[in-house]
Parts: sequence; C-alpha cells; structure tokens
Amino acid sequence: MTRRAGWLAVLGLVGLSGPVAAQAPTPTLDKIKERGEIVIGHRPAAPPFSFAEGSAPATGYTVEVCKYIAEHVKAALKRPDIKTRYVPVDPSNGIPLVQNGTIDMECAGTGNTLERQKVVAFTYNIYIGPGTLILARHDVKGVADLKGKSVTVQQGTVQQKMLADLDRESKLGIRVVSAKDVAENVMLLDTGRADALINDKVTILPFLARLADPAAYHWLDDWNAPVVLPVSIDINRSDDGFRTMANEAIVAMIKSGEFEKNYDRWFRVPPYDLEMTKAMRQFMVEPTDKGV
Amino acid sequence: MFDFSFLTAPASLSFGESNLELILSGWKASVLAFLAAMALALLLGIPVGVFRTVPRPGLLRRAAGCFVELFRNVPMLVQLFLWFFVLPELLPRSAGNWLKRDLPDPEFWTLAAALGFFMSARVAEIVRAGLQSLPRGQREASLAIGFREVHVYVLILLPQVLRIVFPPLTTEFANCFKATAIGLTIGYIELTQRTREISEQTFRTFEIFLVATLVYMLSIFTITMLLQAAERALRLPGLAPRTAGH
Repeated sequence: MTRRAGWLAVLGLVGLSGPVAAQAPTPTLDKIKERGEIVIGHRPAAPPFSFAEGSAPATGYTVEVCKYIAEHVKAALKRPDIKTRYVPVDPSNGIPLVQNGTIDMECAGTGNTLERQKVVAFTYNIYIGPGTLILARHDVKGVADLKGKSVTVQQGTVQQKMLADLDRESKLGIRVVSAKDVAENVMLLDTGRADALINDKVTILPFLARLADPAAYHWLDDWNAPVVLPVSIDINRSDDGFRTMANEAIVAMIKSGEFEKNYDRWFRVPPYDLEMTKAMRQFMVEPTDKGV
Repeated sequence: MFDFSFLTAPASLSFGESNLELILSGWKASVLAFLAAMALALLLGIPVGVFRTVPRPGLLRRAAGCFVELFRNVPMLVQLFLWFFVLPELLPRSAGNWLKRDLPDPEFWTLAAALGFFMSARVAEIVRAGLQSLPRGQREASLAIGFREVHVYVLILLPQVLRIVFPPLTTEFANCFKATAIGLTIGYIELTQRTREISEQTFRTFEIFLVATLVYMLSIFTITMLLQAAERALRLPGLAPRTAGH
C-alpha cells in the first residue's frame, strides 16, 4: 500500500509540472492587453535597485525605470486602464518566473550575463557601477595576506566564481564561508567568522553603517574584479515587440533627463554618493543590451 | 518538455565536476548531517525520556521536562541561528573564537548539534509515551522481586519500549533527513543548496528540483525500509504490535 501511494505521488508530481513547462509562452504584449495588467517582479530588500519602503509596494532605481516603461506601454497601446501589479521575487526564482510568464519584467539589480541571455532577453543596460570589491580587516593589507584566511561570499552570486578563481590562481588556500544573503554576508565578517568579504560594492554600502565598528575594515585596493556586470531588466525571450517598446521607453527616459534624475535620486545620496561611471555615461549615449 | 542533459555537463562554479556530481556531494552532506544529528538525538533523547517518567517528582524529572519544552517549543530555524550566531558571543572570548575560527567544519557541527538537540526532545517524548504505555504492574512486580530502579529500566522496560517505538521513530528519522535542508541558512552546502545553486546557474529549475525530489524520496524510502527491517528482526514473538495490512 505504501509503495502504491509512493508511485501515485511521483505520477502526480510529473502531471503537475508537465503542463506548466509545456505551455507555449504567449507574447507579452498580447497578455498585457488581454489581462489589462503589467506584472512587475521586484525584490523586497535589494536597495537601492528594488525594495519596499513605507507603504509603497516597491520602489528603487530599477523599479522606477520599470514604472516608466509601464507608462510608456500603456500610452503606446492606448490603454490607460492597464494596471500595474507587483510580485515579489528573489534571486533564485526571478528568471524562472520571467521564463514561464508569471512576471513581465524582473526589476532588480539583475546582472546582464551571456549565460542568462540563453534563457531570457534583456532590455538596454540601465546601470553599471563600481563592481565587486573585497572588504577586509586591517590586518589583511592586500590579497596576499588572505592566505589561509576565511572569506565570506553570498550564495548564488557571480562573486562565488570570482573568489574560487582568485583562490585557485593565487594558491591562497582560502576557507570559503557562504552566506545566504547580504545581511548574513556582512554579519559573518562582523562577528569574526570571516576575515574578509567579497561582494558588489553598491550592495554592501547600505549595510556598512550597521557594522559594530565600520572603521575596522577597508577595501583591498590591490584587487580588481575581472568583470563588472551591467544591470538590466530581464524579460521573456519570445517577445521582440515588448523588448522594442521597453527599449524605446528607456531611450525616451534618457532624452527627457528623467533617467539621470532617477540616478541622482538613488545614487547621489548617502550611503552611496557615487558619481555616474564612465561606462554608464557611455550607455546613455549609445544604449546597448550587451552582456558579459 | 524536460531536458536533463545539463546533469552531465560540467557545472559552471566547480572545477570540472558535473552537475550530477554536485548533487551527489550535496546528498552526501545531507546524509552525514542526518546521521550525526540522529545519533545525538538518540543519545540524548532516550535518557531524557526515561527521566521524564521516574516515579517520584524531583529535580531530575523537572530538568528533563524543561529540556523537552525548551528544545521542542522553539522553531528549529531559530535554534540553528542561536547556536550559530549567538552562542559564540555568549561564551568566554577564547571559547567563542575557537567556535568561530578554529573548529573545523563549523557549519556541519553547528547543524548537527542544533538538529540533534531539537530531535532529541521529540525522541524523548516518544520514549516517554512508550514507557507510559507499558502496564504499571511490570514496574511494581520488578521492584517487588528486588530489582533496583535502574535495573527495572535497563533490563525490563527499555528493551520493550525501544521495540514498540519503532513506527513513530521512523517518522522522526524521515523528518530529520528533510530538516537537514535548513543547514543552507548557515552556509552548509547540502542537497537543497546544491539544487538551488544548479538552478541558478543553469535555469533548469523544474528539472533539477524534480531530481532533488526523487533523491529525497529515495533516501527516505531507504531509511524507512531499513528501520522496518530492523523492527521485524528485533520483534519479540507474542509482543509484536498487530498492524493491518502486514
């Protein structure tokens, strides 16, 4: 009896997952018109790109760009009645939800990589920042001092690969301590479980103020990230019409000056105070959806 | 519909291992944590369960009661965080630093301890219920013919109880195996974490979670079969609980 129940459970699983994966994706624009809503995937806690603040369901640098795109789509389709719905996503389910059409745009700090381009499409890149850095205690003067030390890295990020490569190439024998999110990444350094952390600078900055003693750490200046990921908005691959419309919206946003205003609103304030990078200025002149 | 060819392809974060090998290494980590936690749970749970039933109320019985309430009523995830992040800060500095920096595989030992203590409270309750299900006359008769209290437990009661608690214990073993997945919150790279990693790297979310589901089901099926075989082998003639369908 238990055996039969087991097999039924297996059949049930296959049966449930079958239709979802087999369904041919509907072009995004048709779906938006039909349902009368645009679905934005956002992160509850990924400042400054996408986060919840006060009573607003979602805000942040990328979310504001997405709202601009949504307005543009409404105007282009001549459907002012179309509503915007917000669905919270996390780094591991954002892309699958774009793939299966649950959300129309993933509005977070998603890096535009060639690997990801195999499964989703990207709009024009909207941001490129200072990139990955290593934050270490003062007794670690440079990369060479990391020999035999523990370094904490956030699970599922590109930094995992960077750290593995650095360890292998420089034969450092680093002990990798993995953290499930940014807060834990910082906490592992702060509580002394790790001597250094590796993560995106912009991701780490808002958390630095929460350290017990921020002055006890410094950015290692003898290491540069091999790649800096441009941030973009990922959308369904099957829909060139929607992508073209979103790209038009981004160009219109740049031309109207809204784009730079949006940048200043999120990045020219503490704790960031970051000038727009040269690479990002270049995006504004020559928009591109190139990934790395 | 499904494409499983990514399983044999080299994983992008590893050095030449395939995705399937990563899944297997995650499975091995889950099994090790399960074995360590369950060993600790039995080692602690059985004596605590016994102390819960000692005839006269006293310090021992009350301490055992507190132990069970403490480890059973606090969510497992909270306990894991307390063990991992709070305990080292409460200990004297040198001991805390040893836990944080010098203990090899701190994630593994923390998970084993947290899960072991949590499961031990549940094992203790099962053992207590088993002891209380035996006729009171057994204890009284044993005491009457001159057994000491400790011998009543070791020679008379426990040999029966450890046989009758097999079915509920099997459920706890299965729960414990599934619960090893919380290890990923402190950076222990086990089966679920490997699955998520591969999902993030290959975007074959449905396929890899289907594989993980099968691995979990097969593992727990194996645990159940082994325990049922042990139960049959240890069964005493005449004392076997009669269950329908056997």
